[in-house]
Amino acid sequence: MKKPLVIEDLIEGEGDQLSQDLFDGLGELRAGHDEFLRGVKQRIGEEAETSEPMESDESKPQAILKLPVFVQRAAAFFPPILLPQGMIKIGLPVGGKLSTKLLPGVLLLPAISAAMVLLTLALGLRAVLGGEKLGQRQNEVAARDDSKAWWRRYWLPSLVMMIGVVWMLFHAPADALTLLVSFSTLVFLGVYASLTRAGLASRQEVAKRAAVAMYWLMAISLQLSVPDTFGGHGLIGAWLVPLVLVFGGVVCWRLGKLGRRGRDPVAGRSRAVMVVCFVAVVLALHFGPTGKSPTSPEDVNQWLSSLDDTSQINQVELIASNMEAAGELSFDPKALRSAAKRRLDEEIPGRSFNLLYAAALMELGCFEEEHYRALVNPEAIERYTRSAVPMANNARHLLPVLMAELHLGSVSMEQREAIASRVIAAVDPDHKYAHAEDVFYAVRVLDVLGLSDRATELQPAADAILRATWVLEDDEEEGAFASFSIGLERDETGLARADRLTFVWGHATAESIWIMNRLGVPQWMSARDLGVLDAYLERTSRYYGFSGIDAYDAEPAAAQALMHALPEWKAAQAELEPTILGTFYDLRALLAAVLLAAFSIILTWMAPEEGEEVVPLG
Amino acid sequence: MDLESLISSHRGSLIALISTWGASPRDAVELAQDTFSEAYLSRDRYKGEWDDLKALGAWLLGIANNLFHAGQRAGSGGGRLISMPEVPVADRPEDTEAQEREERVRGVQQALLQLKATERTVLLMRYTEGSSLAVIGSLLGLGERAVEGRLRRARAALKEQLEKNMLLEERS
Repeated sequence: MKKPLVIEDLIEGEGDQLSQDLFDGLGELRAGHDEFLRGVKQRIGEEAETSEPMESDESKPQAILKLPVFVQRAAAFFPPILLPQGMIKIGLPVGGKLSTKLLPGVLLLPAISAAMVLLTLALGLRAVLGGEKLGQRQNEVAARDDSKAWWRRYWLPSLVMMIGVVWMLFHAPADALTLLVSFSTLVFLGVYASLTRAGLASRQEVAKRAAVAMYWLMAISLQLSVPDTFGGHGLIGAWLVPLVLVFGGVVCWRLGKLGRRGRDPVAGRSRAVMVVCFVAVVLALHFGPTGKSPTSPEDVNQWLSSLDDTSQINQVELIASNMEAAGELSFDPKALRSAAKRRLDEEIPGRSFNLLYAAALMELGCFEEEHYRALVNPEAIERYTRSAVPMANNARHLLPVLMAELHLGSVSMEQREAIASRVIAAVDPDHKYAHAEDVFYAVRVLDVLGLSDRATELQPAADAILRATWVLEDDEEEGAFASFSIGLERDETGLARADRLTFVWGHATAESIWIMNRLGVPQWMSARDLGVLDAYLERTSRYYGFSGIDAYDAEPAAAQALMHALPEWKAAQAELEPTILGTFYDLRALLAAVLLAAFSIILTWMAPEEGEEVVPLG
Repeated sequence: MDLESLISSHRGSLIALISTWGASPRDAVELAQDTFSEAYLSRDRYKGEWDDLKALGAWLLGIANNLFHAGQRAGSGGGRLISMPEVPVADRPEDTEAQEREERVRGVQQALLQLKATERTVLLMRYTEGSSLAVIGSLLGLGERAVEGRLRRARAALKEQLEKNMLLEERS
């Protein structure tokens, strides 16, 4: 007699002959219950109580059930490898449905994911390097299994969180990301604080986690927000926050080691070496070629001296002009002039020379007599003075022809006045494509004509254009001048705002600062506006050591040097004298680091040493 | 939950699942025994609740998977894709009912081998011992509804394959 198939949750149509045939056909895969159980018992020992609950209820409730519910649920979210041994030994009564762990999960995910990424990398590295003793290898196999099981379970939320962090990196204020990471780390350590109070975590374990958290935050603070947030405060931004975190981590580590009497010193040393290596790698990444450094005026001069390429000559000329106006220009133009000569000798006879580059090359002294002669065009000057209507093109096209004419020929005062009037009238702040460059070249033409005093006539237009192109970052940490006013999003007061300011606006911003130097800082610009403009220039002038400086780094650096030379900047510095609240706000990252380090040290200090009696609550 | 209950609920579907990884039926049973004993010995490391089938299934699957791959690395285990038991031809030729049944079973075994792996897996897990949808789902990382859907599709595919095979047989 064949055994019938028994299914408790039959689905529609399943009680048919086909199901029975399938059951009959799979007989070889079926093992009798008693026989199967006997096989299992042979493996675990005949005396094993297989009909008793697998959880050991006697030991865990006292200590664990008195933990706050949040901690119990949070502990279920931890991979076992991150939990203290005290907890592992007595098992966990927690877990349950995912929804009950949602809140601790969301709060802990950034910190635990980061810890798991580091741990997985470390385990992978150890597996490749090998060489450990048998006992260690068994532990590592278990750790790898734990880590795999955790990733299998939480890979999706972790992935979502990482995508969220990358998104925040580019679209959210830097403080938001710092807050998220710091808060998550605090919750992580807070859970440990509760476990410590319940006697479930030892000092060594707390020290280890606290130190890793410090180093992790140090890496974050170095690579992400702190240098930008504290743009103008070199020492605080670049050094103090990470130093506090390193100090906190070392103290925690040391406190943990104090309790390890009679332990294997080699293991301790190898861990210390790993920590030192980690810190060294992070510091090397930040301060080495992969880190960003601010561009100083000396760096700009060195870069200008080494420049033998004229492809960005207009930017280069603006950089040199701003440096000169700031009193910082001291570069050797030999290489640049040789490159320019090669280009002019080739392009002018070949009639392929673009006039838009000519004025910059002339200003930088790269033109020789024969080059000027090739550009002289008295008829063009005559044409410019014939009409009184505003010039159709901006003064950028007129400037090189005028410079050549003035260099070799002569332009009458009458002609000069006529050209000046047309150039001034051509600057229209209401034009939808009005931008700082209109004013910049108009002032240049007036200078060349020897009519610089008439530049004041451009002031209202300049003021309006600067106001229309001024953009403030949403979190008001940075401000810059956009290339054009069109296309900017404005708030209800008409002020343009953007979630992030692009480096592309560096050229328009540098031109705007040149204009501010010539025509004065607009009345509407407050000391705070100058401060956020400085923050933008500071950030965009930072360069990666491995790539060196380029025009996009030098341009904001030169503009910043010029801005710092403005009397309005000096007045603003006095006005921006920090208040107590303002100082607290500016030092928020440092204060957070100090509090976190202090919390971690106290937490480690209060934790019982390994080997002490685990005292359950109550 | 005690070990015996755990074995009762998960044994059939786990053996079936292991057999779909390429273990012979005998190896699959052995490996399932190894899995349950390892689970018992390392029960302290389990961090979920014992009545959380999903967590329990994922944990058992992890252990089975590790043991299977460890066995493969060590050169044991593995081998053929899946072998079906030979059903002996009935001793009594006059027992036509038994003969018909054996023919049908043989046909089902052959059709099973012609299905897609996902379809074969869910059928094996269900009909080896009549495991519940929840247990199968816990081992496959699926919800009950998803398992049910997969089972329906697999049954339909099996029926279609059986009809195809029958037609071919008639033509030959």
